[in-house]
Amino acid sequence: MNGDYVRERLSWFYSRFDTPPHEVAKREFGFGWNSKIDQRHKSFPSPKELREFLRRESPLYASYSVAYYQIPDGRPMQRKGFLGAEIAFDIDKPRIGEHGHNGIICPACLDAARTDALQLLEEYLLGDFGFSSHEVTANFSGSKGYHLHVDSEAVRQLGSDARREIVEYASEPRGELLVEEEILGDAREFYEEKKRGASKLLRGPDEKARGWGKKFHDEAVAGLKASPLDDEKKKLALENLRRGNYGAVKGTEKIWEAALAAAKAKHALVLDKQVTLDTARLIRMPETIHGGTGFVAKKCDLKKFDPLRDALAFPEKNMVRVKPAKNAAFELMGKTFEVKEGVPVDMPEPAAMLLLLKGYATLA
Amino acid sequence: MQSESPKYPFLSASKGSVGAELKEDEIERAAAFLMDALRGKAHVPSSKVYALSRLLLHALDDGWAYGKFSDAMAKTVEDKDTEAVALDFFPSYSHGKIPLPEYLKGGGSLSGASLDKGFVSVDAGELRSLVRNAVRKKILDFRSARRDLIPKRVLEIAEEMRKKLPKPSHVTARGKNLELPCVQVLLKGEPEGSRYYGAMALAIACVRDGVSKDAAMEVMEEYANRCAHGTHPFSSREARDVAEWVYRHPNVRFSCRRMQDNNLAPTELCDRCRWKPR
Repeated sequence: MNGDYVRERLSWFYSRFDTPPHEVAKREFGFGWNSKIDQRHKSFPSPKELREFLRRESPLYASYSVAYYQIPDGRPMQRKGFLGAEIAFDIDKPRIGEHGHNGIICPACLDAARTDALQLLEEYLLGDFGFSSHEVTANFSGSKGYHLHVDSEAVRQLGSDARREIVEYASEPRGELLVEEEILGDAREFYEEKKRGASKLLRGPDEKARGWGKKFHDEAVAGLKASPLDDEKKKLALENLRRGNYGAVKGTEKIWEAALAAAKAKHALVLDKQVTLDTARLIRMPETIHGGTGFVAKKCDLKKFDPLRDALAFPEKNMVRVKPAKNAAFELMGKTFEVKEGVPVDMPEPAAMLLLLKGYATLA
Repeated sequence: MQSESPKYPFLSASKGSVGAELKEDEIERAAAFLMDALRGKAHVPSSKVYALSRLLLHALDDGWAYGKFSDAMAKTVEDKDTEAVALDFFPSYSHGKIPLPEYLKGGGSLSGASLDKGFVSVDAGELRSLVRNAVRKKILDFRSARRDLIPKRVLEIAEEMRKKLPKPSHVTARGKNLELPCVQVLLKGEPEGSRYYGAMALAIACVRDGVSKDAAMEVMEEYANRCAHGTHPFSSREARDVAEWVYRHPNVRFSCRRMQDNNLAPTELCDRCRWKPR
């Protein structure tokens, strides 16, 4: 009974579907009724056929390729004729500390994921990587996180190695930021520094550094300013930091260690790397329903999106009677819902659908 | 760098081609040049010799030889030519800056890169190593080209050369998982679409057979070299990363079902497997 109801409601939702991905005819599609992808290598000549398929088959999950192909339904993969691929990012493990986690739907995790996605967009995609805002789109995944897509002629031809470079750059500082420099020649500079109390010649990013060098240098300056070193040593260390000399003052190593940890905590994002580097990947199609929640994978403005209000697929005013299989409490649409095992209850359709799809209830 | 006869035959303006009629002495000169390059002796060849030697290299279809040849050619770029050669690979290079997509397409790494607003700043030393890397990559990318058009005589000479090639490393690791028929097929390399799952299965076989991580990395390296390049090469780094993950999760079990689901274990192989999965 649950299955029929869900399918009928998905069909209703997809009869209104009018936001297909661009270049539908060059994409591979995958659909799932029992798992996320039961059937792939599907293609559609135009948005009309895609919409008709969604309405008729009502899949719980709909995915599409980040890649564009000459023959999207060709098999094996080599027959498809790869034309290029968007770069996709997946954030579903937000950086969040201890909190009262809710296993049904967690507002704290969702908000932390949105914040991380916004940082990915502003600091990395539009900042360091220099993509234009019209090349980037963001959408809610429909469950725990967010997907960001970058599409332009320049990025379509990037291979897996290039994509790995991009995703790893946003995930961690790579390479040594501080290097103990080999002493060459007469090592005059080192001995000049040593006279002033330097312990070793330690080179790092200077004030003109870019990328992770700048992120680390900024933290090092802040850490140094906040340190208990006396003013004269601080001044000397700061002067040297500008030139990238981190070994000018004894006892600063701990400050640099803390600065590196702070830079990582502030700037290193937790991304699902496989999603970004795999050009044959299928990823949730924006504006379709996530079959584990009943929410829409809505395209969004990350600054003001609230999935618990803005990603609802079904009308709030529709009331549905469900019989909870276990006790549950959660927030949705600004309201708190609390249900008791075995006690039938009328709920707004988005909340009822969430419980049904999560296996917390059956139709009463 | 004048456009009519560029100094380096790997530049895009080079007019070198094999031509319709192959002369025996030209093929032999190219074969001698290729052998020199595989032994690490690098010099700039004529465009014709270069084109023929790459055809021979392609006929050899050997990952190790491709790596050695690309290294040898990369080393031929003289320091004074670096900027001019750079413009061939990074056409928008200007005042020490390269747009990010061009930089990455040329094989640049973002490890320690000075990246800001979509441009990577490079100094002279970084540009030199970037250019050499781009030359390597251009040669290696040719591995995915069709082999059925290689002339018969070139294939014959390549087979003769194969006997004289310095011996590359080979897989010596053994174990009950590594000796499964489907894993033995994996070791020969996989086509695009199944390379990642193949690497995963291979790494799991290594860890289950108690192969040391260092030895497993050699197995993975060889696997990556043998995989088809397809639209993008499967790099040894990707293969090693898979093994790193598996060695961090040594309890992952080898799954016949996964192998079948990913088209890595055809039924005829399973029929003669001692595990006989259902």
